[in-house]
Amino acid sequence: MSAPLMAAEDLAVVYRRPGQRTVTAVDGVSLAINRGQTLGLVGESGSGKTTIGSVMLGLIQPDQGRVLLDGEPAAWRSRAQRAVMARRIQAVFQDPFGSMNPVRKIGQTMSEVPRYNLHLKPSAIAERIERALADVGMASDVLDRYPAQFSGGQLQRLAIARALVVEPEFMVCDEAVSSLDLSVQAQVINLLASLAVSRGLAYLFISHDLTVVRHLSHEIAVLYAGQIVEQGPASAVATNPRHPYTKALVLAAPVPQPAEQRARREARLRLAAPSARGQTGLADQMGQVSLADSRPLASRTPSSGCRWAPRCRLVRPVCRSERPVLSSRRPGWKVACHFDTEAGLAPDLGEST
Amino acid sequence: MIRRLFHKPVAVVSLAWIAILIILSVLAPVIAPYGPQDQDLAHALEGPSRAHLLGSGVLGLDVLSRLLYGGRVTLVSTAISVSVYALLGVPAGLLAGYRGGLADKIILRLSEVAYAIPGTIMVLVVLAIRPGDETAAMIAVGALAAPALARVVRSATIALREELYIRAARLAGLRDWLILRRNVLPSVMGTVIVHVAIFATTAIILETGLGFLGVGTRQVTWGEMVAEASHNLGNQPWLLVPSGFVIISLVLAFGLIGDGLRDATAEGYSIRQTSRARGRGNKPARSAKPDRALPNKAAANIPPDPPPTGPETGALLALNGLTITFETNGKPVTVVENVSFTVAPGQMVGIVGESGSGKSVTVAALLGLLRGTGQVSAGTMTFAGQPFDLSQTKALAALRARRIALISQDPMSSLDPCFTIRYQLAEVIKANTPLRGTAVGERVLELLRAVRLPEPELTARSYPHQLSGGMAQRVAIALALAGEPDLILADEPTTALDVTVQAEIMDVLRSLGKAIILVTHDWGLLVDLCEKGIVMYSGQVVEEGSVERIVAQPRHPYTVGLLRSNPYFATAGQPLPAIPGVVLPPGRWPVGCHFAERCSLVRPVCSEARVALTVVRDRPGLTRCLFQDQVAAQAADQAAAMGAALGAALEIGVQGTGQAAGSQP
Repeated sequence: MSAPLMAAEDLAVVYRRPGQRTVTAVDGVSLAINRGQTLGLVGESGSGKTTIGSVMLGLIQPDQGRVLLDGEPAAWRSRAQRAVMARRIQAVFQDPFGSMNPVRKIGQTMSEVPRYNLHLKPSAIAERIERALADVGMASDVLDRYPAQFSGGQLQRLAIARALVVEPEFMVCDEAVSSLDLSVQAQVINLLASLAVSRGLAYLFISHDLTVVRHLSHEIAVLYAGQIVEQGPASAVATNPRHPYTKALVLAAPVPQPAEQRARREARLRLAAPSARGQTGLADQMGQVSLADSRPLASRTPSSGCRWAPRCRLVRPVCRSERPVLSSRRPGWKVACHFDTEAGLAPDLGEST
Repeated sequence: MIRRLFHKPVAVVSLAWIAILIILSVLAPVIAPYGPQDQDLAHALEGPSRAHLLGSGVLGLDVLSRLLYGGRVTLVSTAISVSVYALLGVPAGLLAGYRGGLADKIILRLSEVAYAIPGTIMVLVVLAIRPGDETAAMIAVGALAAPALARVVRSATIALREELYIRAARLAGLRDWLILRRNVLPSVMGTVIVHVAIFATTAIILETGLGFLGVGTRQVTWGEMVAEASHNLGNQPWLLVPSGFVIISLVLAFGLIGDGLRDATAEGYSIRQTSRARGRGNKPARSAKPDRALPNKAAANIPPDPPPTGPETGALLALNGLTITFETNGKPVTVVENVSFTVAPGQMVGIVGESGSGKSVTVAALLGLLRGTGQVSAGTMTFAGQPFDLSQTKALAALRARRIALISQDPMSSLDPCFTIRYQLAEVIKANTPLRGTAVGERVLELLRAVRLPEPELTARSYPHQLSGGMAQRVAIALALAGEPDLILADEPTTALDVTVQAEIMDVLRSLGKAIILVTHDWGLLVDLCEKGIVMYSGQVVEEGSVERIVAQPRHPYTVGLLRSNPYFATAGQPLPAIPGVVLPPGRWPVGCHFAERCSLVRPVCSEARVALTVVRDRPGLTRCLFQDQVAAQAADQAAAMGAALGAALEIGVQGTGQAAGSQP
């Protein structure tokens, strides 16, 4: 089998700030994305998903592990290396206003990389821009306008078009549709999905929204406090999650179907049912860990054992002492939980808690 | 940019005046009636005359001629020092700010040294070494002032360095100088222009000062003329007028042209900068093309909608005909149009819509809290039987906190970082209830328990920065409860929170037993919390009714479209049925149906006249659509078509709940 287009091997990123505890934002994460495939990366704030995206883009140097492009180690050290990487990897970020220079016209911003990195002739640049604009469904009269003249959705399309002009093979989308209104978000999701088909693009699609990730991804990796807790086929992970955290995530996301939402709410409340802890819910147990502490999630979680353990209803002594390994009991579906069995989570666990 | 500059009369006049002075000075040898040292002893120290248009000084030197010759010195000196200032300061600042590290340290240290050198003394030293060499002196002036500019440019560059577009450019492997020239310099240009203009005025004054002191060049200068005038102030006061005027006017012109240039540079790209605040603030986006705007309909011409559904009698709140305008470019633009609804005691009502729908502004108006130029142009409210005119915001103040409380999107904005949670809650309790003494402290803990904070004592002692986002939002809810209100307005209360925390905040809101108006863009939250739903689009209520009915049987094309755009209902691998087009900004709304442009069922009649909110025929509720039967058919078709997808979606729940249920005793 040939090497995946983009891979990360055993990544770790440690944030050290003077006078503060060091924070392991990403801890032993491995990913692989094949050509034309989309990997969805889901997690809450502080889970390290953006950090992983930044490593894959060369914005952050990992403290451990490496990034492979076509099986070769990727490097961004020199400007020449960065220029080479930029021809193959592009990014779309959450804030469309921040990712376009407000004082430059759209045309100037879009032609920058083709002109100064790819050294294309003006006619070739114009051709590529025209194709990219057609792909995102914008007219070419946008080139003479400034970012402030567009809505968030239009600007996000233009940000995608700017990435397409380079004709990359891989794109990192970091919360690329999160700031958009629902009707516009659907347009951009469709656009990204159709580009994956028409241009054979591979994506690392980072989002907190499991529903959106499920729709776009072939595979989903669920991140908690810097570690992957579950990874598998998108529909399987989203519809039948096996890790308790993924389950909590699925049940907490409200859905626009009254009966289903009621069922989810009840299931969530049962899963988080307080036993000896009084009336506190799932996140409140988290709250107890985090009280008088607004530091990132990763720094508030235990350094030994399962990081989800303090918030887990199914917690057992072994969870606090031994870190569960991300292991595969079904092909292509990995879960990091001591109680992940072929039949799912052992049903008796709930009773004795 | 030049074209925009010429639209500014002040800048044009300033520019013209500087140009005239430059041309006259250059042409001095040709047009000056006398040489700079030509004496006319017969007419010494005289006012304006035919022979000496601007009078004459000592020894009968012609003032006009000397002004023209003197201008050459001043303008050249100013140009030299400004060039040195900008050419040293801007690159040094860009380099220090962009590169950081060693380059930054060296440039900062050098600038500190330069700060420590007393400038005036340094200039006098230069002139002592090279007497009369004003060029050297002015280079020294520019060089000594440049570090100040470098520091300003450095700060601006540092702020830009972490911007996404700069990071993206760096990541694209573009050369640094290219990034600086194409991306950073244009952004800091406004700041540079202002500082250069200010420095130019300083340079002019300094140069004339040197002339005044007689330490500058040996040629005639304006400063020297001022000195001469001041010596002869008693004999011929007129002498001070021409030289004084020319100096002051030049200084003023430089200052004004700087402002004009800065504005002209910024105007090109900041046409609609306010639109960034859209969704967060309640300021409407400015239209990019106001020329296409249709005339705003006066509120008075709008025919009344039928009375809103819901319990008419005994309603806690009945809003009637709320219309809100914001002023854009001096013209009032309607952002909310004739919105009416009721809230029963204890009822949970959700207003759902996208940005620009007017949902947040509507809620702000209920409390009289419209920001900026926002104004209620029509609208009344009956709250607990008491009538209010919403345009009279003063009367609404009495309702705030005690009767109606607000929970905002950012909990930190309602908490003061300087005080403990206990102190802040106690303040609100004392201000709004008769409780005093120890009862206040007990009430604080009771409120913190009501919002299900795990350790109320510890939370009460904490400062806001010690709380996580979810805990801060709980405290914000406790603050809202402190005044014992009957109605809570929750404007996107969980947008900034993670889903697991959001779910628990929703649990808290559900448990309060108060009437709530939830403003949200998330259908899931609407379904989770509310019984009654109000769908807003472009400032209007387009559908209203029970949430279950709206979601299961939508009767407005926008509701159908918005529900279908939700990936929850979609089949993986299939494109989402997105609504085409964009939300029209306020000011460009058509007279007819606001959704017509994006609607698949649109007919010519939709755009002809205002569409009224009408009763839904086959179920309780209201819709603002002329073709509700077709919408119903379309919705049913789609429900059938999406059957498979929905089945799959339901499966999530069945399996999810099934397993969770399995873990239950």
